[in-house]
Amino acid sequence: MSNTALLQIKDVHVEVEGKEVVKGVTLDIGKGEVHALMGKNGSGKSSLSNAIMGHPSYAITSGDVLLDGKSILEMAPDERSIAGLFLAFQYPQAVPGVTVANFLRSALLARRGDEKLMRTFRKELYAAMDALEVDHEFAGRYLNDGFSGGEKKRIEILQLSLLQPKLALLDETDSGLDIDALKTVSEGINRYSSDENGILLVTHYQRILDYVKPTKVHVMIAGKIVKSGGPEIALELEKSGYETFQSTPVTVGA
Amino acid sequence: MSNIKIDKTILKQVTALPKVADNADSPDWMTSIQAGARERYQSQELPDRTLHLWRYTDPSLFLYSDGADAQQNGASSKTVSTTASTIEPGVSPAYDTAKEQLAAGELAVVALDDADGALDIQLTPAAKDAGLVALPLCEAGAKYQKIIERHLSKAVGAEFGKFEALNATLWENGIFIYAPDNTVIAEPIHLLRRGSASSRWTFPRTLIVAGENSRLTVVDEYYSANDTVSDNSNAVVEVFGLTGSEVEYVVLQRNNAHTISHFTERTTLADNAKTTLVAASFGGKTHKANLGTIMQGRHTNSLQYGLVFGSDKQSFDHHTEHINRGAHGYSNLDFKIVLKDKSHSAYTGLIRVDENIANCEAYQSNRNLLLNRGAKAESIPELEILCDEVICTHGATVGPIDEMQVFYFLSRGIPRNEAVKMIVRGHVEPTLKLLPESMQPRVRGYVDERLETL
Ligand SMILES: Nc1ncnc2c1ncn2[C@@H]1O[C@H](COP(=O)(O)OP(=O)(O)O)[C@@H](O)[C@H]1O
Ligand SMILES: [Mg+2]
Repeated sequence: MSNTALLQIKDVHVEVEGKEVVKGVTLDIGKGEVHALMGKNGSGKSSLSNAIMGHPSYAITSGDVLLDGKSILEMAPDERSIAGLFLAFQYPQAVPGVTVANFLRSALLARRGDEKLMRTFRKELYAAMDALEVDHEFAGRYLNDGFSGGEKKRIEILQLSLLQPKLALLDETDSGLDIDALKTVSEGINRYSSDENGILLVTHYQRILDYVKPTKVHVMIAGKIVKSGGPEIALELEKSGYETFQSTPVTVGA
Repeated sequence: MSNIKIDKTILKQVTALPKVADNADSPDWMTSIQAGARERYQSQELPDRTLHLWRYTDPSLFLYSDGADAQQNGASSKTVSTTASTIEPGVSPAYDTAKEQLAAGELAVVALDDADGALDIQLTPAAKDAGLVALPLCEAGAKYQKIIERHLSKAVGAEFGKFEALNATLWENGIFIYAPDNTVIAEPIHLLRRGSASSRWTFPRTLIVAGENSRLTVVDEYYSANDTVSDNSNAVVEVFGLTGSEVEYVVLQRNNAHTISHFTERTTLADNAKTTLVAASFGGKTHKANLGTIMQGRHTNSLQYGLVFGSDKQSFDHHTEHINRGAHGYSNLDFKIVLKDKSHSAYTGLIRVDENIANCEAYQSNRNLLLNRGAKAESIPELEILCDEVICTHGATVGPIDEMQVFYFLSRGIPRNEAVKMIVRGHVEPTLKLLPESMQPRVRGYVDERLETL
């Protein structure tokens, strides 16, 4: 409840292609908290996540987003990343010719700022890969180029575990994963999760919430959060679907 | 823009054309081919600029000229040596490196074709023992008359075009590479073609014959004598892959910013022959290249790769051809072009499959990355498929760097400038990987040099 929450989303409106798709979302994520953001396809979850990360197609037209009490809206996406924000993409980009290792190396170097601190990189990378059951061969593969849906999601979580951001937005990291992969990836998320960081877990299935326990659950419909509460909301959703929330007036709990 | 004026100075230049290059060791039959080519050159009109291959580059740029300090052209009395080099260490770093690599056994042959000096060809003892032949073309004319007569000017002869006829007339310092049947040479053969410091035109020529089931890799590198001359060149390369052979041919063009170059290459494949072509173009003011594989035999395999990086006001004009004349041929082409500043590139890629050719596959892709607004690229695929049993795809893209890719990098904290560099390097990396390993760092360096000033 304190205003020093790690991430504060304050009445955020997002426009894409001239259309308002997020219509006033307010949400605080404190240290050690895992918030689940649930909603049907097209409700605006990815638009919100992308806009927070600074995606050029998603404009925040009003409201504010604060990380550690500081507004990030004037910051370029790379500055937001260095400040501690991370987005695991729903549809990660393929970048032919750039290896997973090279990409991650550059991302870490941008934080450490010193080649000398990169000496242990291979070791760190392989350890993180082992934990996520990712074959070392992937280090030399071109980023997401020809990867299966599940492989892409694992690589996103691999990045999370190496970059150790303060706040992670995980956009449908569970989709496209079979049950074994879901377990491995969830364990990866749980290993990352600590009292020092926060997670916004975006999903439209409650499935992943069996493995990654949320402290709070929010339901998003048509660009608005229509209900917030404890984990029981996810179960309720599971049982009766999103329709029951449709008519519920907006009740925002922070 | 259709017809260019031919002014009197150009006509004068034509009359000033020397008889033929005076290649001291040439046998008479070779000299008579050259004399025939001279007639061809003089009787052919300048290509019409409405003709498709000439839409992008002014043909008059390539006319023979005997500019002020170029009297020695074609009349030079070249010393042809196969032992000593005339270039002092430090003058040509590429040559120094190549010689070190030769000494270390990393290269099979180093040939320096120095427009102002000797043609110096050195083979490792191992390559010699394996039977590899690397000789000045005119000198080889006597000893390998049969093979040379059968192949020289057969893929790119005087009738090919006006400027190919010019090369056939005036070639000098020609190089003949011949791998007899079953000869396998693992290390690359490195040919260095250094332009003339006196700003005259040079006419390099290369004939490569890969015997049955032989294997070889040839790197053919063209570069300027220094940064200030206009050491223009008109080069012709003919590659013959006989039955079951495998040839990789790499052409690296890194002339200085004042140089005009015209380059024509044809590879002809017999049954079961394979070839990989990598064309890397970095240099020059104007560079026009015509690269092609004629898949004459059955079950041939031809891969063509291009890597072009333009900057400043450079102009590139690349044409590729895959001509499929045998059943079960497989061809794939991937031409990557990166342009910055006000550079310009035109790419035309022809796939032709003759009538009644069974089961062939032909793929073609050309991607152009424009790093700023001033850069321009055109891409024109040309398909002439005269038969049904063909799987053929082609794709071309021209555009700036994908902002979605850039955003992915930014979201990981990688600054924009670094992201762009990484994406461009990534764009060309798969092609760089096809170069002989010992060459890769150097060519990567040429890419990085151009990225430094983004
Ligand atoms: N890049 C885009 N261009 C145009 N419309 C978009 C774009 N991204 C999202 N939208 C639209 O915004 C709305 C919300 O989409 P999105 O945020 O992806 O929802 P969710 O992630 O909840 O499935 C949808 O109507 C979708 O069509
Ligand atoms: Mg989404």
